[in-house]
Amino acid sequence: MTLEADIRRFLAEVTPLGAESATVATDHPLIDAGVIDSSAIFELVEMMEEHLGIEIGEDEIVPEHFESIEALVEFAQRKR
Amino acid sequence: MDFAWTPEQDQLREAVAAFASKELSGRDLSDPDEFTDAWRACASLGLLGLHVPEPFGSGADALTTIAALEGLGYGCTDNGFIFSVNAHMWAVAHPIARFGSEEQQRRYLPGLCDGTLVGAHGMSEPESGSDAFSLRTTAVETGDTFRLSGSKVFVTNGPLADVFVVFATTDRSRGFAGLCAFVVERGTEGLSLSAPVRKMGLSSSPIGELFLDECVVPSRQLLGRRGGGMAVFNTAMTTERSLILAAAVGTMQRELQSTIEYANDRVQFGEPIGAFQAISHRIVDMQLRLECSRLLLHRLGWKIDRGESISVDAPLTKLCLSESALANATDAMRVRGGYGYLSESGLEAQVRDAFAALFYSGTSDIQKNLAARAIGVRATPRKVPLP
Repeated sequence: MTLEADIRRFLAEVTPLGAESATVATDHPLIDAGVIDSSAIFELVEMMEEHLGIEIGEDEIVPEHFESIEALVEFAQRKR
Repeated sequence: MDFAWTPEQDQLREAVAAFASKELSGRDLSDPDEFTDAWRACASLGLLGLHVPEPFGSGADALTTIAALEGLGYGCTDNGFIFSVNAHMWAVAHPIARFGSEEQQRRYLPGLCDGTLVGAHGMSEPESGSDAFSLRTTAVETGDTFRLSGSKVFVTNGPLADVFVVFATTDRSRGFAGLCAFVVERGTEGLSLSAPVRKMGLSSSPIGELFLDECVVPSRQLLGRRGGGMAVFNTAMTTERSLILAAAVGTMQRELQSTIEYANDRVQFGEPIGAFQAISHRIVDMQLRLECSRLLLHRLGWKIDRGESISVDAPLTKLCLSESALANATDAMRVRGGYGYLSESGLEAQVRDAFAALFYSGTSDIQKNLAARAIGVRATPRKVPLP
């Protein structure tokens, strides 16, 4: 499964997007559209660490890494 | 599973309990001079910097810190003072240790650990308590400074603190995503503080309001990254809700022991009152709450030390300890009947203090929300099952 597919799967799990996470645009503003809230961010971080085998520092939990699917993929890519 | 303390942890717990009984109990810690003296004594013992990494603090792990705090709660009857110590440790020293720049750590951690600096945390506002991220204090960036404007309530240690971790938003429309954390020093122009407010309990913990009137702070006072305030707050609160009531386990242990002694000594209808099930069952309830609290807390500390997720454990532990502390203080009073109701029994203060635990570090209802979410209960149904 590609990194993007993984990220979409995580979003389906922890956000109200559900099935729409499979088709939502990669530049959809996840935070500003209310998809990712302050709890979902930490759930996402846990899932990314557990399933992608990466470590995300607390100081890396900043909005710019979670703005969109594109941003999430880029961030995860850098962490690998 | 080995549920025992290590010999070193046991010794530490007993040493802190003995220190607390001798140096902290029986004094009026609502007097500022007595408070400061007791504060410095705790610092000399190494309590304030126990969890702060070396070289600034002792770098103790979570379980060792819990052992020390249980001893503090057992030996010290002044829950307000204990509350102030915990707020300083978890909401100020801890986030500076985790997110502070090298310069910030060098500037603040030595004083926060040796007792020469008292820390306070400014997040809650008149219009944002549980809904923390709807705060209105703004941070306007201009060149290499930020201008802070707004007000904070429930600032523990605020009236006498030297260093404040304050949260403000650079963009209210973005909610949590606009949040920034700052370290602001007492005396900064534009920062002012209220006198302590009257409370139902925690009398010796000075809690007040904080006002920011175009308070200019250099950008180097940003704690963590721009927009990273939510992570700073989350880290502080997760640790605070995990450990702030560790002392309550010690308090409940002390209350239980004295209640058993009372029940064995007090004679009514020709028998010690402990012989009556109405009393003995109430004492068993106290023991049960204490044991559940202790087990949850110790497992939480174990998980923290192993780097495991505590998203369920932290809110459950805080919920259990806070509700148990109040129930046990109430039961300790009920076993004593009318004598428990007299102020001189000391139980009035324990009940009053315990009530606050239902509210600080997130109310019991918020803890249930956090736990529900962490165990997979969703506000909206999942639309498609994952493979």
